[in-house]
Amino acid sequence: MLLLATLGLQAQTPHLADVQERRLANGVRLLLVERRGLNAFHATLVFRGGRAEEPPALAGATDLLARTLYGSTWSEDLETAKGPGSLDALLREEEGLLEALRVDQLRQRQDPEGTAQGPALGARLWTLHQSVRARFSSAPLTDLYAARGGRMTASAGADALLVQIELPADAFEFWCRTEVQRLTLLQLSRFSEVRAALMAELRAQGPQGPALLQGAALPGHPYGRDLADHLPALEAMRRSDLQAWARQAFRPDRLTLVLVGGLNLETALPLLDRSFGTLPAGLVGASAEDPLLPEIPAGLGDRRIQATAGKTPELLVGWRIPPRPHRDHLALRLAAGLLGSGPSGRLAQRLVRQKALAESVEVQVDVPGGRLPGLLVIRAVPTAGHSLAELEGALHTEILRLQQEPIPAGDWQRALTQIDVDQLRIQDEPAALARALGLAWVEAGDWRQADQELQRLRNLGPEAVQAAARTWLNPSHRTTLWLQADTEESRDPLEAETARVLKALAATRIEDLAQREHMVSEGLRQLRMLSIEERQRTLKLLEAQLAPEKR
Amino acid sequence: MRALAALAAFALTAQSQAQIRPQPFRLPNGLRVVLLEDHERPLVRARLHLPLDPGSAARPGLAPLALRVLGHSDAGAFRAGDFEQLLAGAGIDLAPALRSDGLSWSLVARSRDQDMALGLLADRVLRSILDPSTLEAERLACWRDTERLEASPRAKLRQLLESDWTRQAPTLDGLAGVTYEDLATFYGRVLRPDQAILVLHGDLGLEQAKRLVFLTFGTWTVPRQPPAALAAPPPAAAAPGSAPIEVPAAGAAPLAFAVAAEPADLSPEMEALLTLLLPGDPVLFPAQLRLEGPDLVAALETEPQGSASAAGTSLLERLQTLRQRGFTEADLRRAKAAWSAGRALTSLHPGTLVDEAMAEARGRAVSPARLEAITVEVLNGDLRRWLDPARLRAGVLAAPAVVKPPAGS
Repeated sequence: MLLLATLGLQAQTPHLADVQERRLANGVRLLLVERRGLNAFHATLVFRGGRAEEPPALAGATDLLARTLYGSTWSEDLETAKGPGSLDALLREEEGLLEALRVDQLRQRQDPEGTAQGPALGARLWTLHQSVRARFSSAPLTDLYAARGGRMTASAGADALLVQIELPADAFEFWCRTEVQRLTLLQLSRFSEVRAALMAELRAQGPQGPALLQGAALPGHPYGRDLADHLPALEAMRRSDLQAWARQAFRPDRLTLVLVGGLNLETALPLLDRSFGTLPAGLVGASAEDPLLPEIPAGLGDRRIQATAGKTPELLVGWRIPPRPHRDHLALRLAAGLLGSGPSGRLAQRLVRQKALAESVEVQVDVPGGRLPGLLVIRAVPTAGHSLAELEGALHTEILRLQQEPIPAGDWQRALTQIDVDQLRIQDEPAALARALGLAWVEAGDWRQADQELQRLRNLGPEAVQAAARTWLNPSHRTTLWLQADTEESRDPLEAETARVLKALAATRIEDLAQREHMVSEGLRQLRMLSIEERQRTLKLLEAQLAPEKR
Repeated sequence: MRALAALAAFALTAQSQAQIRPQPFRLPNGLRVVLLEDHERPLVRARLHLPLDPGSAARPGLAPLALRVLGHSDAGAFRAGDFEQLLAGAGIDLAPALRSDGLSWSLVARSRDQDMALGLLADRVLRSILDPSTLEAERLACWRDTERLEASPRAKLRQLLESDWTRQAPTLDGLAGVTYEDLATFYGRVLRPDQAILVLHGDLGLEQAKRLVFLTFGTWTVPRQPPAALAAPPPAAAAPGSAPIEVPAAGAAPLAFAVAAEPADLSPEMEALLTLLLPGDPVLFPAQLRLEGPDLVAALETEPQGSASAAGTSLLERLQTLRQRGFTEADLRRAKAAWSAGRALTSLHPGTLVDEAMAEARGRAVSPARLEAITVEVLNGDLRRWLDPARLRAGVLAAPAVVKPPAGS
């Protein structure tokens, strides 16, 4: 039966589309899939790097670039005019004013009695913003792509910034010129408002389960970074800092263009050469290398944290798994498919339908990315009347079953079928194909991996999936988060008291309020990993450091 | 040379368009079917649409509950669990959707599984014998959905401003009041082949499609006497033009929302043009405006120390400035050109072809000739109707200290 299932997959597995690959002289990679008969094209720009390669002082840079550089396409942002009164000059003036305001606010925190420059600076900034806005058209539909019937979206990820654009085929040359102009100028005219919006979002969302889990499971690693902990860095970031970083991060050798649609290589390549090929190649040598990222310590052991957030309790369990190029990675993807995969997955069948312990279960792999060791995460919401402990116990029973009991042929066939259908969707939808090729290049180092993984799948049996599950889905790779509902009754008095003492201690040592808040939130995050007894002892030690009147 | 290339491109486009020309047919039971025959596709897509009758079913919670019961009831050819296993075994994606203009199921399957996929779609739709235990379980699940919505102040505020009755969160009383008979009435009035439209897209010929649809939906019968309409209770959402709703949200920066439901008689051409012109209009800056189903949703966020009521006033002022300013001839020309150019993008999205065929079958497709005939006066007239203060529902989100809880919560 299993042999038949494997043969069935072999017979119908599609070959990846006919991808034509070229490399421009400056290092830009091009993957083109010609789809005759389409009178439009889809373009994905894949900038390798992403959040994982941001230095701590520039945390949030990828998100800001996705929103400022690729939020819209206005002709004013593509103008090259320099000198006094130019948009660039106004934006540099804005940068100076924003920095002066920030410094003034810091000074005010240190010396509330001092003379505040804020109101005057704020008024100048307001006038300046009016001047900047006056340079932009006040007519509707001024986005250059929207006016040509196109659309653009950009998403910041842990491993890459992906920009997806769709336009009619006759706008191809226009698209080449526009994108090169965008990358050359890096105008970032909406930097300040986009940064304010991002900071407001981060402040409003409060503690997030996945971010807490990632922070505990991948400590000290950029994959474990929570942007909400880096608000002071975000606040201090200047437009020129972001431009400088973008020049390095968006070097031509870190860019792959994936084009799918009514284009052919013979006509597209000369246009691409004359446009993207003119982007400066950047420095050669050490600075052109990818940044070195810290290793995740192997011996972290089984970690547990508890936190309160949201209105419903939730269980999150994450296992550290190898990156996409690793030989066990594909087997773990299949394991996730067997466990998750919608209402027919094992966890939904057992925990939701049969035992009624969970309202919902979700399985994700490569959280937050797949280029480096990431996480396989299971999120489950307990049903009313069942505890997180009960749910956790049942979940681990299912993991043990996957590791030890033979996988039924029906389950195996379903997992293979799902992969087959996913591949057909990729073939069918240009955007999905471009994304799959781009991510394979970013995560596995080669777009061909998208095809080669299918070849490997043919030689993979249920035993390999069980072996990978035994190796990786074990307690030494595991981190468990109990997220309790944030109600008045559930609020942890120990944590509230610890937060109070930490704040009081920080106030005696750190003047910058933002830095102080960051220190307190980081301290609380680390303390959550300790047992209750250890947390109580730590609180006593911290209290002892406070002046008697503040205890 | 250039002209030759252009001619070749046109011929290719025409050829590809000709290959997927809609082929309509009808079953004896009245089911209308539109086939988009496309032998290049590895997947088959289908959408079944059933119009809702607001007069008989406009009761918050009834339609979502009915859809849930239909999806979880064992009273079909297969038990609900087996049904899910069959879907997963063949990798079939079957998703329901609900809006005030109708109930629909979208299906994506491998071409070789098209018979099974349509059979399962039919099984789901014809599953109209009710299982009382499923009703109780799904009533609870519906209430949990409402509770989850209320956990997020932003989602709660948006929900309170919702104009589409199928998307309004049901109250506990409303859900408790739905009876077995109400559901039977709902199914009797909505699940009718003579009102349904099925669009098929993929690797299947006309005769094959006719045979397949007849085998799967041929037994679907029209009730001799449809049940009487249910009495609709008054709408639960905020009445347009009333005072802004206030929702407390600890730690959030003040946020103002304004929602305007689309006028019922707005033409699809006008909707297409306004959808292009309204989002991103500089008059609204820094407010954001987008279309969510039939609603225009405007949002304005302010500094954490800002005032919620000021944000609300400012948002409404911006919308009224836009309404009074209107659009120019040049704006209209740009929108028409953008719409025409954007039609090419349909070829990149197989699902959009199905959307367009369904819109055509329902008489909601955009006609290029009618779009071209729209004048700036008509455009501005419809803009003023849509953004009429009497149509707007407004609300603000702010720190608990400055907000009174909404009435009835």
